[in-house]
Amino acid sequence: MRDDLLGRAALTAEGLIGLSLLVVAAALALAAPLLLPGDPFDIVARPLLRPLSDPAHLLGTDRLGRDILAMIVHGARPSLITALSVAAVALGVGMTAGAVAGMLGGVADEVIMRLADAVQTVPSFVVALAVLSVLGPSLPGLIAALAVSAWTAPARVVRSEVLRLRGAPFVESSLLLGRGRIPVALTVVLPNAITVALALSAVIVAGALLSEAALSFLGLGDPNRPSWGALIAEGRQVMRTAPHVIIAPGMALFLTVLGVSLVGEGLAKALSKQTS
Amino acid sequence: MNRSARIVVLRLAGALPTLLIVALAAFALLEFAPGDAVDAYLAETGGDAGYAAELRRRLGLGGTAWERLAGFLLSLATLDLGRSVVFSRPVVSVIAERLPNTLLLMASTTLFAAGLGLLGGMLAGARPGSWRDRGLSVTALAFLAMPSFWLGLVLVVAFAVTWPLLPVAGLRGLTAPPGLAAAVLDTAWHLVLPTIALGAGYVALYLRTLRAGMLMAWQADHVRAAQARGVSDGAVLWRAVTRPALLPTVVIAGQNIGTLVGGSVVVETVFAIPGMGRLAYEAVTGRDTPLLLGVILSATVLVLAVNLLVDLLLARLDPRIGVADA
Amino acid sequence: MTMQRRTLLAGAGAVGAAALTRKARAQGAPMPRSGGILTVAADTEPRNLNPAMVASNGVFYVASKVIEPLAEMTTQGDGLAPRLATHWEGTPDGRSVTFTLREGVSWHDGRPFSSADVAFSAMRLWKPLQNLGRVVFKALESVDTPDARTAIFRFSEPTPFQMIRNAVPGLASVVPRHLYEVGDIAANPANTRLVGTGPFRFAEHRPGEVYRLEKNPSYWEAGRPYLDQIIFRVLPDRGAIAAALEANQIQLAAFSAVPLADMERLARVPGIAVIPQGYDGITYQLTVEINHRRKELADARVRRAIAHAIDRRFVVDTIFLGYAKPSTGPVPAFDRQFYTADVPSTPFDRRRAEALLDEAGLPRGANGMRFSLRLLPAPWFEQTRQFGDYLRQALRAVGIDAQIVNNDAPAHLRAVYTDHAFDLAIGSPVYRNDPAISTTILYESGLPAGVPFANQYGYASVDMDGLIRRAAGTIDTAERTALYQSFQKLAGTELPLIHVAEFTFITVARRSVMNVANNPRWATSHWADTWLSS
Repeated sequence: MRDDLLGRAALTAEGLIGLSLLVVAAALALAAPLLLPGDPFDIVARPLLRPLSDPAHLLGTDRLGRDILAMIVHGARPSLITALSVAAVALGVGMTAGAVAGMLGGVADEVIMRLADAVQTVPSFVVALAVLSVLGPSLPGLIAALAVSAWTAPARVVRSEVLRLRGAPFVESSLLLGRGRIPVALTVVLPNAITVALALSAVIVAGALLSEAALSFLGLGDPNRPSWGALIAEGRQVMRTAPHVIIAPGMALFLTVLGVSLVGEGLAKALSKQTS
Repeated sequence: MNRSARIVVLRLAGALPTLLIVALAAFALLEFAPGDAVDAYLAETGGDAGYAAELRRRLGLGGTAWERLAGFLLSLATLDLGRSVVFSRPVVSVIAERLPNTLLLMASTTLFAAGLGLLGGMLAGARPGSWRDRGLSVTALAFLAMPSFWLGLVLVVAFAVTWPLLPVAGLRGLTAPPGLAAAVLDTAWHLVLPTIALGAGYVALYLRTLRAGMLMAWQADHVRAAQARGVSDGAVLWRAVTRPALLPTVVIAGQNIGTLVGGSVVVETVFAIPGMGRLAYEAVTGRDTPLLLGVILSATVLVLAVNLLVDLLLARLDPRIGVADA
Repeated sequence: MTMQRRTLLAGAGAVGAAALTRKARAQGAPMPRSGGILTVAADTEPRNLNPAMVASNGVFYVASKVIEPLAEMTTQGDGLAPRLATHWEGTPDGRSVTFTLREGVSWHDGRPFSSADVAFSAMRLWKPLQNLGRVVFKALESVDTPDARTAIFRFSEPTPFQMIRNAVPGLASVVPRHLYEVGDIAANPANTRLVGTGPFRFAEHRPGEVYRLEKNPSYWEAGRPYLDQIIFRVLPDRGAIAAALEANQIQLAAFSAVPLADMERLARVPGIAVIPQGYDGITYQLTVEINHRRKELADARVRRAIAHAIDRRFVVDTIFLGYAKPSTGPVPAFDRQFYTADVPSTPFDRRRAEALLDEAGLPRGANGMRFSLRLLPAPWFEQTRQFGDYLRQALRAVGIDAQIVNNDAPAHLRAVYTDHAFDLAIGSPVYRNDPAISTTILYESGLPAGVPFANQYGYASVDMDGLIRRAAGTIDTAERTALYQSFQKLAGTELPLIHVAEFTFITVARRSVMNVANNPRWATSHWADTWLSS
């Protein structure tokens, strides 16, 4: 069913463009070591070479003389992995929480939803910033910090789906068979709410890509991997004299996020056609 | 009005636990942080072991974490935010100095985003499926995909360095212009680039929300009926389609106030605006627990207040919204 | 022009600056003119602005115009120029130093300045409270004031007069006794609303915006200062500072407030001068700090190999864009008293580095790496971070896998100087014009954990400790100097930490600002002779 949905999403022009952008980004992320072997941080040329001035360094070099193209290509993988992990964690936690809250109601519902309220009330980026600068930058820390604020949207959506489905005959019958409410929530109701949550995943991935880049930009990324945000921060110092250092990685980030959003848009459209 | 009052009371009651959780979390965060306020200070000055011990004593960093927590909760209960370690002034005075800048940025961003977004949404939603609609929708997505800090830097390179039309940073010129009008104009001029950088994504949000609402409205029975009755196109578009679709955009405005505060951290950094976002950052790097708490609490109160306003507004606009939801 | 100046400086050190001043005079420099407001950029607002308590550049930048030290550094003569003291003399036994104070000096509130103020500042602030004074004035027993113009410092242990002299410009700022003698000194309101004897009076501080200083009309030096006001605009953003200079909204930005990458462009702007002089007295050193608790790094051959892997020329040219000099050891080359070039050197040589690592029994493994370590670049300067990026690649080239760990300031301080949770760190200690003040502390063993910018490296050498102890107790200037030259040699032999480059700051100013950078601590000195041409 999901393949079918993706197929229909890709049929729109927007979806097609989005998918091709994503395919390119994913291909670069996977093939980086083959395309541009070696350490992307190696100092390979004169500092601040202009783009296209040297065929060996198409996008030029940064202040230390590191190849910008290599850092961008090698930077794709950590960015995508982070964003996908955030989406996975957020969807997993959020959907479970939503299903449990919706199915159990009462105190459990109250506690979970109050927590969601609290999380949404606090400016999540500020929290991520505080947590990361205190605990030190690390991949698990980054994923956790971003997922903390991303789980509430799927939780709310799934909860309202569950509330809608709770009265449905197939759920009632499962409950009548004497199964507990939580198992029923997870095994019977959740799969039926999954399509709704899936459409949210694109939004979460896009948001995570942007937040990850912003945190790296503020110096809270992993300094041992190339990162688009960190590259932009590094280029900031020379942006008056060598703007190419910030423009190239920014474009990479922009096109990737655009790809994700277009695919998500296509997905949402296909979904709405399916339900109507 | 009775209903409004109940909304206020319910909201505030719901907010108290949130505030307490936030305060405790912020306290715990800086307690477990490597390095304390004295380490942050010694980084600037150096000094021997006795010097560090003396500074710790002065800042009340001695004692156990429980003692510090008790002191902290006590001052919180008396609504005393204490003194900032970094600025060695009352936290309230530091926040009072920074908050207006952030409010200004948020207000101008909301105005800009809502203005442009709703206009675009109306144009797109008036004829769903048209090329105009698709073009506007894709443009909106592109705006959403643009990282605000990068957009800010690119705008600076373009409009403040290459063609020096607008100021690079700050909210006020160095030489204060005489007169209130000139000062307002000066600040507005400084706000142009940061507002665009922060607002681009929200333009898209408003556009999409309005458009989606209008899309649903076109399919509603009463709209079809009105069209069949021969009510003029303009009247249908405005009264039956656009107006009801505006309601959810108010909800969106409320929901995104938190992310707006977060986004302003980055934009304040790029444009060197002395606001709350940067203050949070300074509080963390200075291990200034009272200040960080003050910042997070006031940001939270801000978000709650805006949400409350949105609720009241919605209650006014749409009588169907009951207290139960609040 | 800038290139020329820079080369001149690199070649001749502080002498270059003096030569330039003379050249300007020979060309018929215009007569100073009184009046005008000088607006300068400030990037920090120190919470305690009292230089008698906090000896740091951020404090001095503003406070040195209001509160004066006993003497200031100069490029001329014996290196010390009178301020509040006109004469100083130490006894041969190192037990006392006599300062003769200036006549006719009064505090900004009108009260007369006297030796009682000096005695109070020394005994109640410098010695017990000041970050650096606590070390330098450790043995200060009392300050006698036989008359209002004489202050005799008495030490319980022999204390080298040379060190006291070298410490005076930075550590001996005098505050008024009558405002400090009652109540808690640390909580005194005068710590933020300064009262001094200097050429400028503290007028106001609007947090987040400005510090405003006004001309002191009854300053002891007739006809000075020239400026009516100095306004420090708080501008934390470096990009904004460059733009404000170009628009002549500010006239001067010190302490490299403008990014190095912008210097070349700014130097070409008409009316703007890029001035790399005037900071020799506050030279910073880029260092690789080494944790000797790691067994690989306890081996001197490995440390030597790391030093050989670093291309100091590249660091100077690419990271500092030429505004630095390669370093040979713990004393910077500009210091004419102590510096010696006769030390073991470690030129850039990867083959030698690899040979040393092989010799140390650390062959390259299957992945091409010999061992891996944590590298903690200090967040103090953009260049300390950038050098971290460079050092990782330089180490990988000789088979050492360095993983960078970034921390904010307090976390870095805690990790390196208290928890010792690092293998290599990148630091930037300040050289304070006498190795005894803040340099030998990087080498002596036995310090408690938690003392920052000191030997927290687990390095302990009997030879080194003995040498440091002997030098500290030596009073005779020639003998003392010779001991500190041996210290530099031993530091080069044992290489407990690696000095990579020495750098100072750069001032960018409108050409209308005159008498800029005319002493080795200019940005942190009085500015009484600074003036604005129309």
